[in-house]
This record gives sequence, C-alpha cells and structure tokens, in this order.
Amino acid sequence: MDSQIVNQFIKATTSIFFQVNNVSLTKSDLEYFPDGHRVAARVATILGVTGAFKGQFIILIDEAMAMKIASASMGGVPVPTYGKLAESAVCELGNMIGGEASKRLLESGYDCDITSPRIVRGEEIVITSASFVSKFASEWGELQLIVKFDNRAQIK
Amino acid sequence: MTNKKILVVDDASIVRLTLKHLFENYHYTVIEAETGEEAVEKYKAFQPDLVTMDITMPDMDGITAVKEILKIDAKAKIIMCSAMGQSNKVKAAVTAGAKTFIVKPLHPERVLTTVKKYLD
Repeated sequence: MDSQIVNQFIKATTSIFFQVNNVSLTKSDLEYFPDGHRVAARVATILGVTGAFKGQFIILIDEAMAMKIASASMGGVPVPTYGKLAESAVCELGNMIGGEASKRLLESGYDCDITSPRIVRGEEIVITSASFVSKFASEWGELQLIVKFDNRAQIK
Repeated sequence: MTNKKILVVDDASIVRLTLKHLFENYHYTVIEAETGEEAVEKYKAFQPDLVTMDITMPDMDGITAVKEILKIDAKAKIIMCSAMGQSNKVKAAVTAGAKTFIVKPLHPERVLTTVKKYLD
C-alpha cells in the first residue's frame, strides 16, 4: 500500500511540474527514513493528507526555482524577486500536485483529501516520523518531495 | 467591448492575477474574491454574469459557496476551476449546481472557450 501511495505522489509531481513549467523532472534518488530525519530546505511547501492515508507531503525547492515557477505560471511574466507572488505560485503547484495525486489514489481505491498548503522557510526542517524522500533533478535545480506517514504501522 | 462581469474566486493570488489578466485582455470586467464567503458577498453586490470557483479555500469551500450563490440566484453560471479533479469532487460540484468543471493547471484557451460558451 505505502509504495503505491508514494509512487502516485512521485508521478503527480513529475506530471504537474511539466504541465505548469514545461520543464522535466528526473528522479535521481528515493530514500526511506523510518524514524524521520532532518533535511535542508530553503522553501518548504507543506500540505496535509487526510482520509485513507494520513500524513503530509512536502515540496522542497530554493527561492530561485520558486520565482521561475511563478513566472511560468503567469505565462512568462518575469518575477525578479522572491515574495508573496512566488509563494502563491509554489502553493498552487503543491495544490495541483496534491489534486493529481488524490485523483490517482482514488482510482486505486484510496479516497484522500488534501489540506491547504503552507510555506515554511529556513535552512532546515525536521521530519519526526517515517518518510520517503524523493530527489529530482531539473534544469532549474533540485526539487525534493517528502511523503510523510503519520502512522508508522502503515509502512510495509 | 463587452460589459460582462466575471467573479474570479480563488485563495491563490497568482491564480486570480492570471485569470484577471486573461479575462481583461478579452474586455471582461473582473471582480475578485479570496474565500467562499467573500464570493457570496461579492455575488450579491456585483451580480456577475459568470463565476469561476476554486474548491479548497479557507472559511467557506467552493462547493458550499456554489450552493449559497444559487440560493441568491438560481440562474447563476458557475464554472469550477480546481486542482481537486477526482471524480467524487467533480460529481459533488456538478450536483451542487456548477455548470462544468475545469481541472488545474488552467490552460488559457480552454478557460476562454468554456467562459465564452456560457456567456455568449
């Protein structure tokens, strides 16, 4: 069950990122941390998942990529500084990834809802429970996707 | 020049801005709302010809807002524009009274074609 859930988030991330930005993501790494871990993060977009799977998914990027996403979302209008517009674009990207993942999960029999996104900025975030971390490379730099399970017993 | 008014409802400022630019380029007048509750108030105040409505928003979600707006105006034309495109959400929105459902990412041509279909 859990690998299927993580795979749907990975597929949703690559698909939506390309549709919005016309930039491909290439998965370079996937790791499992049974007891949580610390991860470097400039811009972390955090969305909750409720329903058949309870947890969070988190998208980690840097400010430069956030500005490029905002620009692409507005049809190429330059976004030269990191601010509310860039954060809105990143949150919306998170919403779309969550929506696509929910659609895919429902088709697999898991009915999930996604909560509104929030942004956390800093140098590092601490994940306190079991999580999968997928790294993606792109021409805009690296993106990391964390799928965190609230209930460790779910992990198989 | 059209005098048609479109109420754009979305909690994401980038979506409101993008749709506002798109619609204004085609000479529609745009009113914005950030929540379902604000959408209901602005519908009463401005009586727009069409509404684009997100689903996941703070205070009042888009499906509840559709029901509230239809209580005010049973002929309201509401198009859902949401990232939550799973079949149960689409069904809930259409059952609530939305005319149709566009799944994000929003493609300008698709949005315009749909808006024109219900406005013209």
